[in-house]
Amino acid sequence: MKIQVSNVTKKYKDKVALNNVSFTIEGPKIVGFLGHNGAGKTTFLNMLSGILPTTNGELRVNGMHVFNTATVLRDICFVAETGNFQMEMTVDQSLKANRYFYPNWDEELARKLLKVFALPPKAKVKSLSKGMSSALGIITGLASRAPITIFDEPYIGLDVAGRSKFYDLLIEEQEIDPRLFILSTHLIDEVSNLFDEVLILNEGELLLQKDYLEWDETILAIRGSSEEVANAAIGHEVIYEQTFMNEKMAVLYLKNPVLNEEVKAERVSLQDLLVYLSKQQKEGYAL
Amino acid sequence: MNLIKGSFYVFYQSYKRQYLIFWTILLAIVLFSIFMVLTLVDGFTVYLMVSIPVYVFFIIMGSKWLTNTFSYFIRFGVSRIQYAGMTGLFFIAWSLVTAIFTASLHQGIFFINRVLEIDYFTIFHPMLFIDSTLPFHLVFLFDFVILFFFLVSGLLLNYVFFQFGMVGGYTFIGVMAFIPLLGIMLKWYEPVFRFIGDQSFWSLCSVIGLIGVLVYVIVTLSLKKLSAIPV
Repeated sequence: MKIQVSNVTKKYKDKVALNNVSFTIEGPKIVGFLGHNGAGKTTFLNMLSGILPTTNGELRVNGMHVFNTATVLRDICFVAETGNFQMEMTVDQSLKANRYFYPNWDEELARKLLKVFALPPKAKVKSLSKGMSSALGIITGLASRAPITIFDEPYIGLDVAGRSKFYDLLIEEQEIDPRLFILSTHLIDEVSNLFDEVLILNEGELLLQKDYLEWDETILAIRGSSEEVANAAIGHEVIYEQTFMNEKMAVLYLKNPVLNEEVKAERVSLQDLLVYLSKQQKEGYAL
Repeated sequence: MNLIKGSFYVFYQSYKRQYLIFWTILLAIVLFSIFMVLTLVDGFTVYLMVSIPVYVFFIIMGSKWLTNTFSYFIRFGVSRIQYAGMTGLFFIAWSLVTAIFTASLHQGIFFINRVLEIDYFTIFHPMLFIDSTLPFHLVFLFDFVILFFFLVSGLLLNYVFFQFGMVGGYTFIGVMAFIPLLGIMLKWYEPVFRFIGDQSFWSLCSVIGLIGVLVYVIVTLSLKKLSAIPV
């Protein structure tokens, strides 16, 4: 599975949600699709699943345009935060409906997961709690066996036990039937170890795309005086910086493995980076 | 074939409850009216119209269709043209089934009136202007065409709100409401009604049916690039 994004822009009336974004994702793998609130993640995922057209640029899957192409779209299962099911249908009926639309639908897996998440089959979707709705979405995504399966905040309202089950199932399914999973989430610390690759959007643009195994070698935070940090940052990309008292801290995207100066370097977790980016965004708005 | 089966399954399960509630209430009113006629004193006549509420129900159903189902089916990987096709087929089927039921209901009420010798219970239908005996096949055909037309009209209204938001939607309603007012001001409602009255049943049904199909085609073409997230 190959997703090619070429110079994609999405504009709404008074806002540019995505600005000239280009990247390629090849599966099978588990991709973390991350960013602060309003970064453009859901907009992109909506375009990938054919819900929204692009304003400019091309979005292709295996060389074919996505929008309105049924042969491409039937290989994509998109589980959004909300609105995945008809409210008047029961859990049973919702799963039965999936059979007609997902060519690889695994009924046995769906029934097994129904028991794992303890969902009442005869309950109407509108009577389910947020966590139960999320569980139904997770069941749909996993049992669809769609070559591209997208989860956009899939566990809203799901308790920690439910989330743990989801992570275990994700790993299990990836072993049995590898596919391209794209997971957009804010609970990064919980799930970051599952990622093979990470893409981070920032203010509608692609900030970075990295194999997760290379993360610690590529993203570092350095601390020191302004001069020391500035010198150390030469040749690298500064993703974030802040000054507190007399100490400057900068998060660097290392272009080469060598830091020029002797500065205090520390690991930056994925979660920490997203926090820094969110702060930067808020500070930008404050300005 | 799977798409059609799947879409019919989803539409049926999603709208079954509302449909049942509507008919339960309507039939309860009909039965209660018959009961009143049988038990009340002489000189009291009940006039009832079953078809108009059904037309109104269908226009309401049509006006929520896109909002309730469009995004859901697009997420399944259905293209917009496929969605329009599935919806059109379901509209035809739903109008057919309801028209059969409505026509049967009329015949059923006539039968009850004859058996119980009720003179002062009258059921109206727009077809009365054309044939006062209200034959089953003409009532069925008329209702089928009108119901399809009203579903499509509701869908058009929903599309306008979906695409253009509240301002666009209510402007559209305002323009539609203004047209008959304009007709009254310019006094062309009389020649229009006379013209309609002079038409045969078949030409009237054909024209309404064709308008319904044309509006549906326009909505289908408009869906091609429509975002599945409403404005």
